[in-house]
Amino acid sequence: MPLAAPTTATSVYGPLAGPQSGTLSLAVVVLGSLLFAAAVLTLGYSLLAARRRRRRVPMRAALRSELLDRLYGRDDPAWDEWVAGLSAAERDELESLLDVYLRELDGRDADALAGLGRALGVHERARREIANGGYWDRTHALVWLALLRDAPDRDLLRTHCTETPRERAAAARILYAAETDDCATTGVDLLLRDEPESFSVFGVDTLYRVAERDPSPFFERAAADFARWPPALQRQALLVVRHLTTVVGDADLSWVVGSLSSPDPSVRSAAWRALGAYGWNRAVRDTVDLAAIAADPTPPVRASAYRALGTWGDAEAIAAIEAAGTADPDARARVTAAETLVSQRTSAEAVDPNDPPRADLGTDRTASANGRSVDETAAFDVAWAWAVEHARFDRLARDISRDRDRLHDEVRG
Amino acid sequence: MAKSAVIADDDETIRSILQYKLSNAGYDLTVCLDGEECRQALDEADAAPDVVVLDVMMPRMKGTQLLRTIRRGELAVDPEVPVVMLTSRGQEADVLKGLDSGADEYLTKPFSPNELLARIDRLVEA
Repeated sequence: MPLAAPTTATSVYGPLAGPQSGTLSLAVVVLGSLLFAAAVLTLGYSLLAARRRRRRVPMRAALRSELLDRLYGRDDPAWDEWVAGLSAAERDELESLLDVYLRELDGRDADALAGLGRALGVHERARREIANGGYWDRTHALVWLALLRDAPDRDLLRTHCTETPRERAAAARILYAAETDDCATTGVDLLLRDEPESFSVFGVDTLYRVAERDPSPFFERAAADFARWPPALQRQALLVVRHLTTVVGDADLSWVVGSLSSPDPSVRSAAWRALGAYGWNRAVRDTVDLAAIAADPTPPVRASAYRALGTWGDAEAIAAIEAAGTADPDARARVTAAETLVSQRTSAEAVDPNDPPRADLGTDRTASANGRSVDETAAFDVAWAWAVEHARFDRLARDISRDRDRLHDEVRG
Repeated sequence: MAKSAVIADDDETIRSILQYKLSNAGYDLTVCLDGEECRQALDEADAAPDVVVLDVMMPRMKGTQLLRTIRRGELAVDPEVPVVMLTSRGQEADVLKGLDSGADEYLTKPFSPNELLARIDRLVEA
């Protein structure tokens, strides 16, 4: 007879006996030990990190104060001398401070801070990381060089920084930040290399910046290749054009006008938004067929056209909105047309909610005129009344005069 | 008599730069960490700064919203107090919106603190 009953464990399927029970107990012990060890490690690491943070706060404050003193309080900041006397932890913290200050400062101060970057060895390290590092090392290095406005050799960028559109944009951004002569030519080449599907927001912004410096390389490339680009890239190129405005000079914009006929409605909308910025450019305007707006089958495209014409804002553009917008079959597009027309009125007093503009209508507004039904006219009346009311409230919200009570009564009245 | 300024920015780096430059230039400073704190500072009975420096994008109350409140005379501070807007936005529409709200000056980040100080001094001395 055994001295003790065999160890057993009970499960929903009945008692476990012998080796099975021992294995289960061992598993529980091992699992429990692992969980306990993980908890101890997590707690220990948290305490260590908190201690480090506590030590870094006064260190960072002291470094910040010294940095500002050297930057603004002396003729010669003597960065090398300062950095030579710092510990490794202090250098690490100072590099972090340099990063945030370089992002906020411009002009002479940024140039002075670049000297601190040299003293910390950032310039050389960044070049090494670009030449020998992995993707994230290179990205990190590119960010530093852009912050320090330090353009490396172009071959270094072309050879090592072309893996993704984002990396190419980061490389182009350095040239922009350093204000190099080839910022636009090399920048556009890098950005549009391998014809990306689309840019990141950073890429679009970088394209805008290099094109603003010199629009020719971008416009020449777009004139040649725009039709082959995917719609997402086309929209982004048009977005850049929209914001470049007077910088473009006499650049060839025929591809922008041509994109009004794109089979993709989002591209047509983007084209109208871009052209809205070119009301001053008579040569471009003369190539736009305003009569074709009403024939566009997509309401958001027509709405974009009304906004663009509103931005042009002259009599010819307003007449085109009145011709198409007051009879637009889509409610949202009608509201856009009404809002655009209301915004053209010189003052709130000039806008009568009960007297919307009429295009091609005779004096008898109750009857059908020029093929326009009474229903169409009534539909635009509703949009007009909404737009007038909205404009009044918007004006009240933005008004900064102390005559606010009068405005309040006017809107309520 | 010392000049005084109220600065409001939720970015510690910008605050440190403004504090350093303006205090070295002889300004007594009231430093606010967001728009609402600045609104309260400007609504105190003895609030009479020579200039106000506002960031546009701040927690709790945007700079443009606060600026309109000042210009409408809804706070204790003089509605005509010079205001400099400071923002990372550089689009024409944003600059126009800031100026429409009543800003006297508008600087975009990254900025030159020396330029900012020159503009502030010009406003205060005007």
